[in-house]
Amino acid sequence: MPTADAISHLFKRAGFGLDLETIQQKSLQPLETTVEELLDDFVEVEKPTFLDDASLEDWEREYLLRHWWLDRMAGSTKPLQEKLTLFWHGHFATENSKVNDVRLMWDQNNLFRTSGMGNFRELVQNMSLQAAMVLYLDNAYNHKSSPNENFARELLELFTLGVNQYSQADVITAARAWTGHNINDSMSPMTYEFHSTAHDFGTKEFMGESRAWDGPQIIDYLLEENLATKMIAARHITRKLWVYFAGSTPPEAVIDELSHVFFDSDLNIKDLLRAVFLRPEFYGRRSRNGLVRNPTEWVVAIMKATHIPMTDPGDGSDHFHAWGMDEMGMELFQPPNVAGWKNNAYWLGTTQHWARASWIWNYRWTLHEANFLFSDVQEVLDGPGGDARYELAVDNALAKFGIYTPTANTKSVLTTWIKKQYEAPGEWRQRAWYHVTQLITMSPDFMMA
Amino acid sequence: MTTTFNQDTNTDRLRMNLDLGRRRFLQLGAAGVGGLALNPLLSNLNAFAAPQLGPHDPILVLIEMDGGNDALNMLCPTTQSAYYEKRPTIAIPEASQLAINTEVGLHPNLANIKKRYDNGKVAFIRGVGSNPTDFSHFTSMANWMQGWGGGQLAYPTGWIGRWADSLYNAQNEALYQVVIDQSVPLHHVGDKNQAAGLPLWIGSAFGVERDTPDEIRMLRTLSKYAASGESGRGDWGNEIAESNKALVRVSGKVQPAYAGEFPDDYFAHQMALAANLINANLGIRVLTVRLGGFDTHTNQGGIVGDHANLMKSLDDGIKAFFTKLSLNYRRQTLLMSFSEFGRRPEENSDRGTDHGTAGVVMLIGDLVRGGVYGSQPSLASADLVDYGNLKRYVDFRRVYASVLKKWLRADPTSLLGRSYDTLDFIKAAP
Repeated sequence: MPTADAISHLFKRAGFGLDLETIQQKSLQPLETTVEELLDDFVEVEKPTFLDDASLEDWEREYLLRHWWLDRMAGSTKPLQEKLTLFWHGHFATENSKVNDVRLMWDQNNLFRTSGMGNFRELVQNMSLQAAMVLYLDNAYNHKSSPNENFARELLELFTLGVNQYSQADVITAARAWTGHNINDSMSPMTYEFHSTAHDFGTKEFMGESRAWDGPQIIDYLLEENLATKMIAARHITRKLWVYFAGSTPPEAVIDELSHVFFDSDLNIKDLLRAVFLRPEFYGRRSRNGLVRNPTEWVVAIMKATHIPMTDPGDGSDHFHAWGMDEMGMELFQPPNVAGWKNNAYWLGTTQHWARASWIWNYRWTLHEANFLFSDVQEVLDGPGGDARYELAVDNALAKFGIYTPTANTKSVLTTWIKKQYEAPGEWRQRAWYHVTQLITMSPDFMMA
Repeated sequence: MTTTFNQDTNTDRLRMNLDLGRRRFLQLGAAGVGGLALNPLLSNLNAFAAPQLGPHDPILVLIEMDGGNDALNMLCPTTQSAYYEKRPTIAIPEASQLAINTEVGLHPNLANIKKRYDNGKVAFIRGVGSNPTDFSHFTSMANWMQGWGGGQLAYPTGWIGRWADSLYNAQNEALYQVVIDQSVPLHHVGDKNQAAGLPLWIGSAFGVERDTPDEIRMLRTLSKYAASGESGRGDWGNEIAESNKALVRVSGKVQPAYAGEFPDDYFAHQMALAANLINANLGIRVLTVRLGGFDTHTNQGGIVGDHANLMKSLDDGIKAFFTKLSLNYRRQTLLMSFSEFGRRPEENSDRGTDHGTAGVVMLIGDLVRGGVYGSQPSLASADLVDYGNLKRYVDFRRVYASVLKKWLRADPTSLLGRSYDTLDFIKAAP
């Protein structure tokens, strides 16, 4: 049976964390069972109604959708579905600042949600023929009289093969093949549409093959017909998924084996994920210490700990908002560029790190008024128990944030602090229970995934 | 709302996404704290003042133009008929160009730069590029940022970062290099020293106001996660602890630079802040300010259009910078622009241009030897290379070698991994 630590690790990576009781339950059953539970029973999600509310501006819908998604991540009983949707959002990165219609972003987002665990080739095909991507990478400007290479290049470089696995001539042909895959801009929201007058039906050479290439055939060729490029793509996606779930330095042997699993399953994503979550290396030290929580994971973990949502409940009770996540470096529906978000050190620049500290700092009074941690920390401090109560208060606070086995370093820093804070003269002793939130959310224990 | 093109910030992919092979030397940091531990509450929060600059210390401000600046519409080849033929809708007509000499003229929106050029303070290097050609934003910008001509590096570092590694106490000083942005670009990453990314606003930012004893105690405690040198969560945990320490330090120091009025324009705002940061004498040696949006595949336009707006921003931003910059620092400040590549001579059907090769580097400063350097690539079809693109005449690392040697007083060969001929656009180091 897996250890509780292993289950906690699995659910931090494959989801957004898990409560202690469920962790203990799942450590009583085989790991295979838990992994199947994670992989199974994807749920359909209803389109949020505000997306069709004509009285709202696009930026308002975007704001609401960002909150809606964060709430889903914090509350869904199928956390892997959302975690994987977030992965594909970063892989097929699309910015609403250019698409300019968050309803199209929703279509893409929900494609990731419903098909993100299916066949990779089908996912690429479907994603390519959605208005969001056609607009984002300028395929709406890709005309046979003047091919635009933007989408074709990224299809090869970022979405499937990886950099330098093709020639500039291949990019030019792929661009010609994708001419005419356009949008109908008289519709609202816009829809994908094929413009045959703009499409180049001529014979052209792609990777040494002369054919009358059409865009979707390029995808089928790369990911099905040509076994060499299919393997290259399998490695590219396997490596990226491993880094996303397990950490930044994948052992080559693991990537080798996993990419063969992926290749042999005809690029079935669920089969790859199962293999990832059952690899012993996934539970090893390198993986456990391999990832800094990205701002989305960090914010969602705080939402889960505090039970405070993003969406305004409308009854006057507290809620967070996502303002500030752009400064943290991760604004949903606005990735920095077509390459999406990176990891680890990417989040630790002064600005991003500072933005996290400021975000939680600005909620200190909210948390104070919500009496968050009052009984776990302040009442313990005010009670009997001598010096042991300082340690107990720290343990309680850490557990509230999902840290059940804190490091010695964090435990000692916090215990030393809380004693000083509590024994300081005057009213300051009453501040311990809100400063502790700041100190825990910025601690290495909480900042690590 | 201004569209931020997806392509314009591709270099984020390069930013800080590096394996931690080069942890900061925590032991040294801890030794530094030791002596201060005796002081009460207010003690070590601001203890790490960077060495302040003297009048002979050079300052370098880099303007990173993301997406591939169309150098041909910035510094137009006035006398080449192919320029007008290949760009029927987006060429800048000769009558509108601000003449630099008989061969080239500036975009009409660069009037302030033109004035500085007339005063002898601007150098343009033409035909600058990297070899071999790479039309990818990512690898091309990585190449520019690394600025390395030697063998494979164990960990990718940038040309400015390697230089900063040589400065006093490089392991601990967070403000030698600064980027006004959320993430640190590769050129600011050294083995020991990395740039701090500073935000555009610090309104209600954490750590700026330090009013009460308990807030100060909390800030000190946040720094303490790094004190033992062992977070218990590996290198990344240690790095988080170090980031907390740097945050406490930096947030207490930069406030003066954020005081006062700023221009509305995003780039001008950043440039004015850059000048304020220099004026505050925090020990900053190199600063990067980014201007995105140069990937003008569509609606680039000529005299008006997206690229014209960018030229206006560039011009206004440089003006805003010099308006704010204290005269005390003016002589020792050098501005330099760069972009990952130029664009294709022939316009496409969407009034835009596709990824190209050679571009222009611009340098501005009191100690710049004004003029036009390098060679102007020909746009005639017979002269084009690599799918209709310009020939490159100046390896971009020659520009770096010149700046390193003549401005930063460093040894370019060791910092660039190879020896490069220098150019003569700098009169003297300050």
